[in-house]
Amino acid sequence: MSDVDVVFEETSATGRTAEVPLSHLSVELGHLYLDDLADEAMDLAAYFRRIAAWTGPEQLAALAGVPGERLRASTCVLVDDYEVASLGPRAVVPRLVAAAASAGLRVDYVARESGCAAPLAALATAGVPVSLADLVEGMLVADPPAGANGSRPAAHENGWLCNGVRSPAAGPVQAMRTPLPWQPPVENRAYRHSIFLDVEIWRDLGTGRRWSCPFLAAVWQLLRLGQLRVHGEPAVVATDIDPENLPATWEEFPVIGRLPGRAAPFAAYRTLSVFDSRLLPVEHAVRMILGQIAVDPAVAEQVRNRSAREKITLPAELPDRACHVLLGG
Amino acid sequence: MILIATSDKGGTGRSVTGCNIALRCALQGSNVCYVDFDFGSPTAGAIFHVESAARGILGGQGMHSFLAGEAAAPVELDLWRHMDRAGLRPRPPGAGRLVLFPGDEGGGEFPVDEDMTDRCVRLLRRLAEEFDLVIVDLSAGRSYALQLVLEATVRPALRPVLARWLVFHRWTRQHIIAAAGLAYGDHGIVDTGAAKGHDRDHLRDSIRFVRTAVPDLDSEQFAGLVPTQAAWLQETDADLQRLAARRRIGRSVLLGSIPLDPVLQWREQLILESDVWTLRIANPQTGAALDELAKDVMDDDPWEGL
Amino acid sequence: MAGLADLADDERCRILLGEVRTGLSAHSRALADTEAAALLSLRPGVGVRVATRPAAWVVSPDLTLGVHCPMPSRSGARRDGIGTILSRASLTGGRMVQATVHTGVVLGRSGAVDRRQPWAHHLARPGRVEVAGRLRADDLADGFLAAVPDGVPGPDLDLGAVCGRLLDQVQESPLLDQRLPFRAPRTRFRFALLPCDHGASGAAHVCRVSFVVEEEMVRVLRMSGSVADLVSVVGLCEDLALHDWLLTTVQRVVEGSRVRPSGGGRLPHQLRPVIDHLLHLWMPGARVADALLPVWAGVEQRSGISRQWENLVGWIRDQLALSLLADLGRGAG
Repeated sequence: MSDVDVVFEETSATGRTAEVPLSHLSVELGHLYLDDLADEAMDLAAYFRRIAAWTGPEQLAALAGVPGERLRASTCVLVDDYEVASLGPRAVVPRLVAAAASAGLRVDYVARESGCAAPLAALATAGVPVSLADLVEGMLVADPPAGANGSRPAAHENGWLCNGVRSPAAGPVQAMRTPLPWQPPVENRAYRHSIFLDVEIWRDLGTGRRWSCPFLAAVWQLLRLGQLRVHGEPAVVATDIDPENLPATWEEFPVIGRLPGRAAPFAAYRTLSVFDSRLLPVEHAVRMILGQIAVDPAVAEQVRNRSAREKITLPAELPDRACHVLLGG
Repeated sequence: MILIATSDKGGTGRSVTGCNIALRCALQGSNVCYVDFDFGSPTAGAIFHVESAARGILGGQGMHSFLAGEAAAPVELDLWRHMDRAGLRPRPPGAGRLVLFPGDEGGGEFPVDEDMTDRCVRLLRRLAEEFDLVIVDLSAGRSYALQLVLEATVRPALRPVLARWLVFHRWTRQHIIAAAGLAYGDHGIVDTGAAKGHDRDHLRDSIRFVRTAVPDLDSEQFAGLVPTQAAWLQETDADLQRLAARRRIGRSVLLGSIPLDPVLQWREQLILESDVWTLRIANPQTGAALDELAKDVMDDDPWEGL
Repeated sequence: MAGLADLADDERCRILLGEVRTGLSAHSRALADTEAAALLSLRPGVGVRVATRPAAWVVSPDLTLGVHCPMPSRSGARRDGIGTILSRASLTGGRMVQATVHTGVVLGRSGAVDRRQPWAHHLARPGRVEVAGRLRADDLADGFLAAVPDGVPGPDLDLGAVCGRLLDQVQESPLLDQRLPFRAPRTRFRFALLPCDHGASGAAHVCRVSFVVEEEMVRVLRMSGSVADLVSVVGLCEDLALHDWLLTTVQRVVEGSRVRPSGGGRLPHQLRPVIDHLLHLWMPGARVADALLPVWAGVEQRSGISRQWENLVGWIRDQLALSLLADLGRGAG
């Protein structure tokens, strides 16, 4: 044997994973539908004033678990850009920024929801278009009911995801056998009682999939938590936008646009979302979905090491990194 | 290669002939498996001398339960370890694998759904990857099993896999008419297959026929006949040949004929060389016919397009 | 709440359980690297890893599956485990396809008994199954490694099914033409690594190994040792399973052609595809971590796997030479 210590390595045989910069907290200033914005009667300034009451500097620092002077927090608004074609970024973004400013809030990032659902050129794999939603669907690992021993595939293939065992459906019965009586669904983590939740992930429209609102909201949370990579690179990078020169349609708008100013990084250790309480069912579903997402272990480790260096205590579980404030009417 | 064995009616000796083909091919060195899709009467275990699976197996892990989705995986019996017959244990040198996928005892017919077809495709594709010969023994007639296999073999994962069909029928007027009907008639194999997306001509070309319980007029069995009886038999046989030809199941699509042999009829079990030569209970012609059939099943020549 | 500190549990107390299934890719020829990469791109946005030396090797990203079921045991102690198992598929030499599944079992964690942890707790610890209640490591490993009669699994953790399903998924890909040059049975290679008391010095250390060839297609590897990087042990098992499959497959073909010689000095027709597709793929230990090479060497020496391979290859080459001579003779005559 020779004493020479030889290392042979092929670069393509070992994956590399890029880090993304992280704030302490990503604050979502409400969720706006274009329908709402089309309604001239809506008082956007009042809308942001209610949110501002919950997003003061001390409140954010306490949530992030860091002293106020060290706090890095960025704010964002996600625009649900599906329905109203006439309201493009040129019409909407300045209005949003001005209304927020009147409530003492600064908007750092504006994103469009369609960016989570539409195929992105940067993600295409071997010529097949891939969307962020496809990417995240590949990260789903269903919560196994008791008895799941690996002998069957996990059953979210029908486009639904739940937190337990569904009521058995009456399927075809072999000749001479009797069908089973009704049985209730059961939550996997039921403690005496079940709160069973079954969420549509996508629907097949024949022409393609339509991703559900809660699933896209979960994709958005994962972006904000800095968890998404494509072939080791960040899945989406925020792009600078010029408020003086905004595109007319959302399609021309970046997935995540950064407004001028000294914005902290878009992604963060934790997220805070301040919403109208009508979004409670959606956010319940989002948390359930987040609880069934397995992130790339390399990404998880990066975030873990980074937070340890910054002396920030961070829960290992993704849903525990998302905070919500739900406002009454 | 997947060999699908079916018959127009019960009592054709389809299963017993199929099992004998399986054994012979395995003894010749091929890896063979036998899949019991005879849902109404899963008795392949009995033919293979496996007592524990004589009428299918207990425990809800057989082929029915697997296809219905109740069992995650079907039982597979390594026959070289399970056949209770002298000379067949352990695996003879040079023999290939011989595996039985038994049905469930007490299983019945069931309608086919999409999931069942998925499971069937996955299983048969895997078997075609591992085995040189996959024999699928179907229930008689226009059964759910037939429908299932026609649906499965047209799926993309199985389409490239070579599939051959064997229709067994007894050498009688009624059986000839019924066998031709099963293959070419309304709602028959070709008709149903074409409706499910099979290429009609290709499917028709992959069907061959096996005549069973055929009286061998030259054999000793018939040596004592009076001349009128012999003449009548000759004439009836010729009539049947003409009928078969008219129904398009004549010699050009005939893969083999199994002679009338009480051992095959009554014992319904494997016929070994010892049955023919040592015990002398089976006719040498029966052994020879089975050998021939086992060879022709695997050869390409008898299956050339017409 | 389970904090990050909890993640830093000593990995060495885990018991590694796994299975590898190996078969011939369902294609008429060896796949090129780019084809193999497309075949094994099992998750959007996550690339395959490719190595070209010493033989082409492409491996899929890891897939994660949740389980919650009784753990195997020899004694019949029914202890529930809950957590995730990891699987991956790989292609070597464009020809041999493998599916591998593994998990690290953590025994006797308290707190898991009364109330199930949120699922996110387990997803933050991929490739780990936590067992509630008392279960001995030996009992678990013995139960897991014991042969399953007639391929029918019970309600216990069934890594084999996950493995078989992944192999099926790869093999039924539309990228494969299903025209295999010959049929080769898949082998099942089960393995377990138990912690051992000594050898606490940082480096990987394996002190006991037993390798058993069970039924025709089942192999069992049981190791004791302390290896921090469980994935390197999985790599070792994949390499062993690969070479065992090669040997088994070629041996079967040679056995068949010895019993039924084709006569006249002709090359037995069964040998042809083996020469074309398999003989050049024998490269033991190619992707085994340095620290685990002694395990390969030990198994190799005890089981005689390499010597047996050389014998077979020698015999095949002799047949080839004889057939060439016979052809020359016929040409001359």
